[in-house]
Amino acid sequence: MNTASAPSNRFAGIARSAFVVALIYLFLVGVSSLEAGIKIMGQDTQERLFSSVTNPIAGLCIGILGTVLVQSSSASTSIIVGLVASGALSVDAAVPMVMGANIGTTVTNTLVSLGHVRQSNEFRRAFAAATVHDFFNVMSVAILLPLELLFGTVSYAAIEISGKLVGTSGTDWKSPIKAWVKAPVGWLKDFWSYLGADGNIQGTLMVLTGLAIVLLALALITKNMRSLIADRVERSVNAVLGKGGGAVALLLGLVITVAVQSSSITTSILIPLSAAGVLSLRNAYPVTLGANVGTTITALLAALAVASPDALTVALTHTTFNVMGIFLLYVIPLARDVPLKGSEALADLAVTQRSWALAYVLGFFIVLPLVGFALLR
Amino acid sequence: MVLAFFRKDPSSGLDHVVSKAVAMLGDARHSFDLATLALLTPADSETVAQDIRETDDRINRTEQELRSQLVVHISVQGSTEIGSVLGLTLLLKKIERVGDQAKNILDLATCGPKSKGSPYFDQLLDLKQRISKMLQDTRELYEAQDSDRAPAFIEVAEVLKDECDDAVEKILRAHDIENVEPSDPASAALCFRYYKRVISHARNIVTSIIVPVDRLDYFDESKDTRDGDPPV
Repeated sequence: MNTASAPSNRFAGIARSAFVVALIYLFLVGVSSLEAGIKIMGQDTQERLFSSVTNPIAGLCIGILGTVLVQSSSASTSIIVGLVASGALSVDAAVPMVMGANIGTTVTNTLVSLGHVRQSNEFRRAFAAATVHDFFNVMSVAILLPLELLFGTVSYAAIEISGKLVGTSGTDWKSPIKAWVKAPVGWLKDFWSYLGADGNIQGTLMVLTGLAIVLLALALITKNMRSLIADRVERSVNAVLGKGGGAVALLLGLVITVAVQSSSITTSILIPLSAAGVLSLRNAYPVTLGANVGTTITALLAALAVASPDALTVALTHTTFNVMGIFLLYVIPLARDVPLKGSEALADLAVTQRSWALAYVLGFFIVLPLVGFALLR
Repeated sequence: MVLAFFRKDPSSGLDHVVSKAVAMLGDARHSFDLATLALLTPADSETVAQDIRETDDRINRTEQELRSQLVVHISVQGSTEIGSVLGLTLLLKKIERVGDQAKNILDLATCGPKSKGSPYFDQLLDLKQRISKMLQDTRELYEAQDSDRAPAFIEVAEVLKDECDDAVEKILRAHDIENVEPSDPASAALCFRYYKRVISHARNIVTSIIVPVDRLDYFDESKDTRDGDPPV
């Protein structure tokens, strides 16, 4: 079975690892370009662009829609971090968007589960495994968003940690990574100036270039890391199957997601396993929660490129939100069963009436956020 | 368990499944040897039965574990090795079936032709030794994926299968059975059939080295239907 020679495999692995490091650098350049582009735009333009998301529910809806669009909460939260760093978006406005990104990212594995729609039993298990993630995220938002709006519960911990790490809000901190990416961002700015763009046009082009770089770099990082660590992921998942779920499964979900920089990859791997009946819903659930926390690493990485305490606070909010959600909905035994039972009930409904599954995906991930945003902006 | 992610393990993925399947083949041979020992020697059937049951449990557990691992492999690595995965799924079933045949042989041990005076004893003993050797060869060939030695092995398997068929036919056509124990012909015929099934499974396992997954178990029936395939 093992046909490839070891030395050539090793060389390919080293080359791919080096490529991933280059892609991470490119990703940081993208986030910094985004920040620089927004800064180039005038204050009036910034206010016009972002005044519509001051309503937290509208922000939540934008977070869901944006993430569904790019199919990656890592990308959308990194963009949010860039916007906060530029000063165009406040921490208060960014937090609901980050929570929305958490919900939006679950669409990928729900779509993957629809691939099993022909086989009732497989589909029931796959859909339940996919939507347990949705239930957890929606319940976390339902509990923590009101608490955040009333008492700043989620961001409080993030502000404390951020303050300890880089000082108080409002001042820039000296990030070595920011210095490393300064030169290429400057070249991009010069490039657009050379082509005759200035003011808002130059800013818009910088933002678009930054967005394109972030999305491309993240997609390539995920693809390459998936290849690089596929054997390790396989071994880890086998270990979860052998020993069951719990905290260890949660940690494995976290580690795998940090490595591939995408919770969608981790959770989507679970769907065929659940569909085949190899992985139970109860054992898949903690892996999903670990993935939720693991995916926050990307926004933290993005915050290093922009060197703004507020941006770091928002990135940390993504982490504290998910950790708090786990304490509320997984550590407490009574609450643990609610997402499990909810997803099983939804899966039963979807199996009885297949059109419900499609209606759920379209309604919950697209129509509802669109309507919410249109009404509340 | 989390450390499993960080540990470097050269035998992962399908290599791991193959090495466990090879170990299963060893277990299957062990079961076969024990069952024929109980059948053809005065060994204590109850002691042997206990060992066979434990070995069979181990084979079944390993088969289930490896099936899960194959599903994980496809989920994580994608479908690039789907042919190997399907082949391994069939292979695991064949190995498990060798264990099942060993249990069938054990069931005969209580009423089988143990006595050296039985007219079938010598042939059963001779075939037993050749099949046991064949199971060992199966393991070695599969482990090494030795496509050079596989055709010769398959030829030997065909000869052994024919011997089993001939032995059964001889029993069925026998007119003079007055000098044998009444249970001898029936149990001997069954035993020859079980031997034949073990040989077939071993042959099919080795065949998997040289034929694609769709032709597994049917290679001899379809060898003329494909252009350019190596003769098997």
